[in-house]
Amino acid sequence: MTHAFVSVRELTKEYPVVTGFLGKKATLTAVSDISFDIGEGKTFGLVGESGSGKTTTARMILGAEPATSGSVKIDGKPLMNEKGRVDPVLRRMMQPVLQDPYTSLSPRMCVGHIIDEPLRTQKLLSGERALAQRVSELLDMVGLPQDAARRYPNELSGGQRQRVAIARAIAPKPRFLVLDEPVSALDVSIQAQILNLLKDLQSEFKLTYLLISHDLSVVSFMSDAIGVMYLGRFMEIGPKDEVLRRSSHPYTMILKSAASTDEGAALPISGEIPSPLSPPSGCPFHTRCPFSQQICATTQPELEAGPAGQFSACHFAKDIRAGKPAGTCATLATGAMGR
Amino acid sequence: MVDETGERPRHVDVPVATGVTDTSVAVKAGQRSTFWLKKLQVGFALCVVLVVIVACALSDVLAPYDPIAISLGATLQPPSAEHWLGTDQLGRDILSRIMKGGQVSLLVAFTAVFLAGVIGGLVGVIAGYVGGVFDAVAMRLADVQFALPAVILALVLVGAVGSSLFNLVIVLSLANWARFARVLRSETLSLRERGFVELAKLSDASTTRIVLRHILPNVMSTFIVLATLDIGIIIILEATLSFLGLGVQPPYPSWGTMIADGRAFLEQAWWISIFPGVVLILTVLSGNILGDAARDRLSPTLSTKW
Ligand SMILES: Nc1ncnc2c1ncn2[C@@H]1O[C@H](COP(=O)(O)OP(=O)(O)OP(=O)(O)O)[C@@H](O)[C@H]1O
Ligand SMILES: [Mg+2]
Repeated sequence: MTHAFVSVRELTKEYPVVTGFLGKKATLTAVSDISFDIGEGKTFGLVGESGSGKTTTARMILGAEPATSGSVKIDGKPLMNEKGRVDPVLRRMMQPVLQDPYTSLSPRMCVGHIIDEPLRTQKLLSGERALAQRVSELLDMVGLPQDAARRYPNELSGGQRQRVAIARAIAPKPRFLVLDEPVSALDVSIQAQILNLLKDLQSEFKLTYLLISHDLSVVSFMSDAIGVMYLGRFMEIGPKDEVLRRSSHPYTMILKSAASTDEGAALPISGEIPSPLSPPSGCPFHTRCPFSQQICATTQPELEAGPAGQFSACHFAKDIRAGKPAGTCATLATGAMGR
Repeated sequence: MVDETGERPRHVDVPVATGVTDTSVAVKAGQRSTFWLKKLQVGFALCVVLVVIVACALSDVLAPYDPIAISLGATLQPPSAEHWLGTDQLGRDILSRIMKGGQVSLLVAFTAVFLAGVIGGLVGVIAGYVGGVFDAVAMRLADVQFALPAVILALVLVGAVGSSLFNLVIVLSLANWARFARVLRSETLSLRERGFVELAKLSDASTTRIVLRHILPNVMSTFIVLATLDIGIIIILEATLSFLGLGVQPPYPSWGTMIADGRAFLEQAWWISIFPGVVLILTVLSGNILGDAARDRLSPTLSTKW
C-alpha cells in the first residue's frame, strides 16, 4: 500500500452566519468531520451536489481557510505550524486550479506573467531570462504555442485559459494539485482534452490530485478513490470500483442513475438539497432518500466499513450490499444495482 | 455595482458587460439615428476639447492681444474684426482673456482631478483591500465630503487657508476625492474575491504586489472614466469659486472671474460675460460627453450616478 501523502482527519468547518430580519446568529456547518487519505501519485475524487462543502474542504486543505477543527497532514507534516500559519514548505508543495478560468486569470496580465507569478513571489527562480525559459517549457508541457506568453487571457478560449491555469499551477514544481471543478466551465469536447492533459502531467511528475467535481463521470474517469459528499459529510467513501460498481449508499446510487444515459433506470429523488443551516435530524439524506425508514429520521448513521475497503454511512448498507434493500423500494434499488 | 454597504460577499458575480454591444450589434432602424447622433456628439465633443486645449495651452503664442494689457482707448468694444469677441471695461481683448483664462482654469482643473484621483483612488483601493479601521475611517470622511456641498466645503477651506492658485488646487482636490474613493473601493471589494487574487495570495504574494499588479491595473479603466467625468465638475467648481472671488486672483483672468466681472455691464456689453460662459459650458459639456463615451467603452457597468 502506498503511504498516505495527504492525510485529512476529522476536518470540520463552521461559519457563523446572521440570518433573517432580526439578525439571529446561527452556525452553518459547511464541512463536518471529514477524514480521508490520498496516496502519493493518486487521485482522490470528491463528488457531491452544489453546496455540499467540496470547495470549503479544498480551501481548508490549501490553508486558504482555517479549519474549525480537525487536522491536515501533507507528506507526514502538519499543514499548520505552531503559530497557526501554513507551513511555507508545504504551501510550495501544493497548488490550486480553480473552476472558472475566466476569473482565475487577471485580465490585465499577460500569460507569461500569470504563469511565472508563483516563481517570482516564492523566489524559486530569478532573472528574466531564466523565468522566460521556464515559461516556455511550461507552455510546451500544457500544449500551448510559444507566442501565448505575450497574449492576454481575453485572447484565449476557455480551454486555453485552463491550460494557462494548469501551467501556472505546475510552475513551482508542486507535488500536490487541488483541482476544484477544473473542467465544469468548459465544453464537453474540451473537458476530455484537459482531463487527459491532467492525467499525462500526473504520470510524468508523479503528482497527487484532489479532484473536485459534481460530475460523477469526470470523477470516475480520473480517480483512484472517491468520496461522495452530502451536506458536508461523507455518505460513502472508498476505492473507485467499490464505490461505483458496488455502491452501498442510496445517494451514490442516485448520483449514478442521474449520470447514466439510461432514462428508465433513473431513481426518484425528491426536492432540493436541504439548507445546511438547518440540516435534517438523523441521516442528513433521509428527507430525499427513496428507501428512508423510521430510524433514518432519528439516528445518524456512522461511516461503517464494508468488506472491500469502502465505508458507507447508511443504516442499511449491509442490506444494500446483500442485494435486499429495506422497505418498499426494493425493486427500484435492485434495478439500480444491477448496473 | 456601486456597493456602499461595506459587505464583503465571498462569491461575487462578475458583472456582465451589457451595453457595449448595443452599439456594435446591428441596431434596429429606430435606434440607428440615435447611434449616429451619438457618434456625431462624440466627434463634436472631441473637436471642442481639442480646440480649447490647444488654444489655451498655446495662448501665449496664439492670443491676438496681451490678455492683461489695459487699453483705455478701446473699452467695451463690441465684437468686431479687430476684437473678435469684443473688449471689456478696461479695453482688454476678450478672446485673449478667454484663452489665458482657460489656461489657468484647465491647469487648475487637470491638476486637481489628478490629485483628487490619486488620493481618492489610493484611499479607495486600500480601504477596499485592507478593510478594518482604515476602511471605516476613510468611508466616514468620504461621507463628510459627500454631505457638505462642494461649494460650501471649498468656501470654508479657502476661508481657512486663504486664496492662492496652490490652495485652490488643494481645495478642489479635497472637495472631489471621495467619489474616486467610493467607486474604486467597491471595485476593489469585488476584485479581491476573484480567483486571481486568491491564487496570488496562495502563492505568498505580498499585499503590495497584489495591490500593484492585480488590483490597480484592473481598476484603471474605471479610474480613467471617473477622471474624465470629474474634469467638468471641477471646472465648474473652479469657476464658481473664482466667480465668488475666492479662486484665481486679478489681474489674471479665469473663466469664473471673467463672468463675474462682466455682470455689471450685462446691459451695455453682454459679450464680456456671455462668451466666457459659452466657452465654459461647451467645454464642460464636451468633457461629459467624452466621459460617457469612455464609460461605454471601458467600464459599461459603472453607473454615472453616485
Ligand atoms: N464564507 C462563507 N460564509 C458562510 N457560508 C459559507 C461560506 N463559504 C461557504 N459557505 C456555505 O458552505 C456550504 C458549502 O459551500 P461550498 O462552496 O464548499 O460548496 P461546494 O460543494 O463547493 O458547492 P459548489 O458545487 O456550488 O461549488 C454552502 O452552503 C455555502 O453557502
Ligand atoms: Mg465549489
